[in-house]
Amino acid sequence: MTEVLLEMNEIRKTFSGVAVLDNAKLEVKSGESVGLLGSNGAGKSTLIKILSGIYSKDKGRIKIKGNEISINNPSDAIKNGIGLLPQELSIHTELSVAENLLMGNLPTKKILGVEFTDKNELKNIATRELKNLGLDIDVSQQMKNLSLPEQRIVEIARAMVSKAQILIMDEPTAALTSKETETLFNVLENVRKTGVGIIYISHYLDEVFDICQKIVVLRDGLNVGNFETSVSNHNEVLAAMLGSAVEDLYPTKKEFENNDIALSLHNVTFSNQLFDLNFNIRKGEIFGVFGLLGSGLEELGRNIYGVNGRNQKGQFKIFGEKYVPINPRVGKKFGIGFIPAERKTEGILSELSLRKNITIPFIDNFLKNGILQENKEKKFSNKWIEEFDIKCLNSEQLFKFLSGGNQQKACIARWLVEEVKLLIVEEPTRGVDLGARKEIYSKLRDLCEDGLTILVLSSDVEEIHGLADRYMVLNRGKIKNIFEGKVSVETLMAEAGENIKEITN
Amino acid sequence: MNESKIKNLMKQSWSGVAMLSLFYIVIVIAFSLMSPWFFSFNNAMNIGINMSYIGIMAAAGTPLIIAGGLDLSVAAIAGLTGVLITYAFGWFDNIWIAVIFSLIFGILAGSLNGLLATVLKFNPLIATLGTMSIITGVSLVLTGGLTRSMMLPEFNYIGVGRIFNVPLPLIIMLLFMIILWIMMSQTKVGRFIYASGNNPDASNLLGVPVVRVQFYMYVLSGLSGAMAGVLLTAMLGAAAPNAAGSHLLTIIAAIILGGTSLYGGIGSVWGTLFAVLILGTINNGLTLMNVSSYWQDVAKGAVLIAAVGLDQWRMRA
Repeated sequence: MTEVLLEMNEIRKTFSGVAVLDNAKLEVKSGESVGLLGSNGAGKSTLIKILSGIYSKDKGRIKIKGNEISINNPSDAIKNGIGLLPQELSIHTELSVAENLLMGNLPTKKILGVEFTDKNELKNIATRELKNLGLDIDVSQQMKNLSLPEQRIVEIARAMVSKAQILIMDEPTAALTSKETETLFNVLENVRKTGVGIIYISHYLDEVFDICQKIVVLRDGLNVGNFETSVSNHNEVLAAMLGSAVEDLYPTKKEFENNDIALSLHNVTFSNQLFDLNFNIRKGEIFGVFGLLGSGLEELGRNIYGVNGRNQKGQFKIFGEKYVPINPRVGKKFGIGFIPAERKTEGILSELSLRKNITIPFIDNFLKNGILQENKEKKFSNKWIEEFDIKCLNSEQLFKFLSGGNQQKACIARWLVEEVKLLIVEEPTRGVDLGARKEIYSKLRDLCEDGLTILVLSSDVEEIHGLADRYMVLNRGKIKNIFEGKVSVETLMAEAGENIKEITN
Repeated sequence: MNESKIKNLMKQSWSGVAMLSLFYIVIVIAFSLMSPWFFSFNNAMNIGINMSYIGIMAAAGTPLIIAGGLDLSVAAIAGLTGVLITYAFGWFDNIWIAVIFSLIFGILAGSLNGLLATVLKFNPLIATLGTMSIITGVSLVLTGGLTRSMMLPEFNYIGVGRIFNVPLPLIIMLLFMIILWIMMSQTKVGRFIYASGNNPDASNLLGVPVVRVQFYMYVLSGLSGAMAGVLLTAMLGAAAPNAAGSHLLTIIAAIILGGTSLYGGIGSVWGTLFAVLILGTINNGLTLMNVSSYWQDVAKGAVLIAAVGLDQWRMRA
């Protein structure tokens, strides 16, 4: 009988009163890979952060090999044999492979009473450790000379050297090709056979079914499914992840008659990010784009708006006019508005008032003989404060004192002038509470009824499915599919998560 | 009143200026009690004259820092401007052409700062520290470190003349501040300045030409240095290569004390005016009380550090 390595029970975590995790459970046995799945906001990463000591839990128990332990900071987690490999590589590119591997417990020798690093010993240990994982390379070369999966493997080896019993992998394959993924999986398989427990987080269902024995699904901070991969199928797992559709969250869609083109891309490639894009967005529709991490989703909207400058090949047409993305000012001139995903760093002017935040993109509309007409600004702001039900003291309140949902409403309202004909929205409801989400969705729909065209990019598949008239799925920098009519959430998810082996090989 | 209430009060935009004016009244009363010569019209005008050129540079530095920039070379520009007037007067034999020539120099020096700090994205602290050293060095090379006389009644009038018994330099400073206040509060440029300094990335996405706005503020700062240099030379009847250099600290202290945040996006020209008055008054009062100028430097430094501390506390509040 295999030993239970880790038990997490009744884990609860709230952020400013909202429960992100509520009664969550996770169990990992020795020599077992557990896939942890859930859509965005399900609580996966919060659970992992609690386990690795980055967040503290509000409630619940963590047991390692039957003994209850408390994890208050990352070093507690490491001491208890928990190794986290975050999404982003954490390596020192300029140092040697061996130094990276043994960082923190370098072998030393004494010369004249002074401690020096024992270079030979360092090399021997590093070579041995990597060979155990099936990687036979020169450990004295610089880390940056290694390929991505090799660097990953060194990270895994580093966790093993520090006696990790439980290995947490957070989306390790997001930036890898399918061949590289295979190499990584072989290593993980070796690690598992030594009795280590692996928690594997991924959006790619195929992968999880390939390497995991068990799957735990979270939704809205709760466990909603435990599966044995040998006796389950994709659809069961997807159904658990997505749950029963929250249909009333989304406004009803309209029938389409209009076929005028708002924006068209013809053979467009954005340098090293997105390739061979061909699609049309129709006037007055909500065009939804969905993709996973590494799909290029984060880059598409801003590239069209011109944020990344002139980095494209191919033709753009916007409302029949030829268009070339150069910078946001040019994008604006062609009638494009843009709402970025990272509201805090890219969207808001925190020290300015609500009014000034709303009027700034089209400030020229409030000028008379070069002087700003404050009353006209107030009138405009108050109109949107009322229409969007933005909760504030008045239009002069500093923006930083508004809640995320109200800030987002203002970030939308600032583009609602007749100059803007195409609105690009990245992650329209990130960090927004459920009530405000519903209002934002219905407002976006209303705006389309009034003739605005909206391009929504979101990593939340339900949001795209519920909100958009048509869907486009991006997968590793390419258009995977465009769906004209009705399609299930599961299909969208599957298209986005499918390894495009067949296409690349 | 508990701590959170005080913090809430501190967050109000007017609270800074209100606190400064209160502080100003306190020191005026204190000095009036301590020195019999302090509280008089003439002494008030003295403070005004002495702070006028510093006030001009601080006024232009305010929108620059609000927009997210910093100019350490402005006082050095003032010094070289004076020297250039004396040379240009020799070449053109017309003082007004010489003045215009030196103002153009200020604009060019500001453009150089702007080019380095915005277009080329050098750290503004280091970039303008470099130009400060270069400009100071050039002044000393040109003059050999000596003061050059510049006595010419129609020119000196700018520095010593009075209108309705109010010194001309003070009037010029106030006019300059009013113009900047209108720019900051009533125009599109002003709005762009606050936005650029508060969040350059967001401003760029909203179509604000952030780099251009910051560049122009460097140019304005350079121009203000040249204006200050003209006033100072006219006042002294001579161009001393390092006359203004020691005032850099006062300028920065005034801007920060006036409520402008070094993090950008927050501040006002009025706050700077009050802070300039306070620093000038402290300086004047201490002089009247026979405190050595060495100790005044100590006081100035302490006020600067206190002001920066207040700024950080306010940002965290």
